[in-house]
Amino acid sequence: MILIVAGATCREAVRSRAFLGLLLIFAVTALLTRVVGWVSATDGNIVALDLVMSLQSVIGVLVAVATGTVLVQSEIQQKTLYTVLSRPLPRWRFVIGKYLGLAAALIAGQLAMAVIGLAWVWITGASLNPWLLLAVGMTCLEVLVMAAVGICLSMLAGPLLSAVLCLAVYALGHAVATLPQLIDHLESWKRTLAVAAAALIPNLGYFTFRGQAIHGHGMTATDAAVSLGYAALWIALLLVVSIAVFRRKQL
Amino acid sequence: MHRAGIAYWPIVIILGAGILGWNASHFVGAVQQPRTKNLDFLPPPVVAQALACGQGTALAKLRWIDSFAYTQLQFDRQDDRVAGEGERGGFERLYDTLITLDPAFVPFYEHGVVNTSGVLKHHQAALSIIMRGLDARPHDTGLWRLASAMLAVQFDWAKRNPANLDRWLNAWAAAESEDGRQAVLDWRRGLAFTHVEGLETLPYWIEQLRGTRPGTAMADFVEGTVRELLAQHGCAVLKRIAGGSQGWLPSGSLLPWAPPQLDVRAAAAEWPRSVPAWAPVMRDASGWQLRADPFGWPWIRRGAEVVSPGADQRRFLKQTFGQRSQIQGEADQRGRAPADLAEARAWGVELPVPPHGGHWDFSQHLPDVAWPDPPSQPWQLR
Repeated sequence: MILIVAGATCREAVRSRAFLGLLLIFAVTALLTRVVGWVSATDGNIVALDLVMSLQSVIGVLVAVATGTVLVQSEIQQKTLYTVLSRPLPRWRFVIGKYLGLAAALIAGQLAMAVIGLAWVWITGASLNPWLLLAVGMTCLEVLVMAAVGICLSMLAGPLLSAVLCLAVYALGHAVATLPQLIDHLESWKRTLAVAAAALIPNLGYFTFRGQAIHGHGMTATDAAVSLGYAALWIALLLVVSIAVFRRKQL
Repeated sequence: MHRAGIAYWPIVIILGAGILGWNASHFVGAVQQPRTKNLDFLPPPVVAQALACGQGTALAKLRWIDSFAYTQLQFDRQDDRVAGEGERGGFERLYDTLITLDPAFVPFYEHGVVNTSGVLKHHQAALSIIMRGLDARPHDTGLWRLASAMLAVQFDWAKRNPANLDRWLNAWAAAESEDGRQAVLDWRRGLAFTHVEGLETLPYWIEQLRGTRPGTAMADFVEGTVRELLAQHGCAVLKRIAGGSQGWLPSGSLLPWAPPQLDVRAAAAEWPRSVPAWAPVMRDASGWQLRADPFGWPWIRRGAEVVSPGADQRRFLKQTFGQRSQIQGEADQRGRAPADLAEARAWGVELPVPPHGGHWDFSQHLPDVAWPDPPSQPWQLR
């Protein structure tokens, strides 16, 4: 049953205008990155490659936010949720199915963007290295965490507010990665408070491997495993919270 | 009553075409103008990292491209003080931020050095930028070369601190792979010749010589060029030494000269420690000796000048290239080469008489000059 919900969600997400529109924006901007490379007073390959990888992350997160935050709400608005839940389907399975479907669509989107972007910079003269594939994988993890954040927040707030909060989490999630460099400026309880607040935000710095990969620098298997485990932990936590909220929700 | 709807697509197309034309009109007839933008947004590195939302490397590159206009501004202004605390100028703060965001991107260091050292003459700041580069990329040959050039040229280590420069170059060699160490050797050689009169480009030609196969036309050309440079240097040095003692360079004499004719004091002043391999003299157990020129000919004094016959021969061939080509063209038309110099003249081409006992050889497609064999061995170059 989970797979049926996941399949339907994936199809719906892939066909959504937000998904296709953002993919189109990625394709157009990826083409323009080469122009930025040309004006960069170098051979421009690293510049173009970096921008493509960066765009993939930003557009991927935007897709996750745009689709993840309306996933359940649209079911409620269209009243299709009642039809689904009238069947013998526990609510937790519904949430898990929705997340898996969204995750499949997002990964498909990420792969499409990676193929388009990397093929374009390769055709126009950049050399690629195998670490870029790992960087794409890390970006996928980042997007999956953000999708879980989106679903969780959409259980607690309306689509617009949850989308705004989701983008705030994205910004904060990267900001907390630099917190250790700033923490020395704080003392006593302020320091404790900052660390405690940062602990509530997923540290997306674990998934920013793009910067190293474009220069051909590698990542240890341990670091990759830690990032994977960290993503899995956050996704599990956010889905459990989502299920707990959804179970008590008066529909 | 049914009213016919308005067809919107033609309106959309017309409006779209108008907007496209309007936008494109900005580029028609546009003249390139120097951009003189100031650094109006310059967050500290840690703040920039926090604001970059995980896209630090990409944003750093965009900020860097945007800062090109600031470079253009500084070409004229030469003053990059910006608002805020501290003594550091705009470029230093800019590259501090950029390098923090993407320490592996080499152009940040290269441009940082060009802007701080080249444009503003802040060599100390440039050196600190390049040292950060070596910290981030300790095996980058380009950065080592750039740092070495800065130390040698801007800080004059070759003269003022040769021991430290030597240690520095050893550190560079240690950072290189087995193949890469050749770059350090080349650099050392290049540095050594920077102040040697007439031999400034010798390292380049030696490098070219290494890439040629003996006996090929390219090898002959490069070898000839190297010998010519060495001869040019030898003439200059011998003229200088002769100035100290007019007696030991008798006009028009054939050399090598006897050792007593050498001005030992002048030679010792020229090479106080040891005589380099490219010098026109050598010193062994029996004392100072004058070598033949790099082509194996004895040097000749002509008035106040010292002449290398070998270099003279090469120069002669270069100077007569036009006439030789003319004869080649005539010979192609007539189907045969001229029999001798007189016939060449009869064809309307005035060929000068070769110096140093040479005579024209028309057996080649392009007429050449046959010279007698030099009395000594040419200098060993390989």
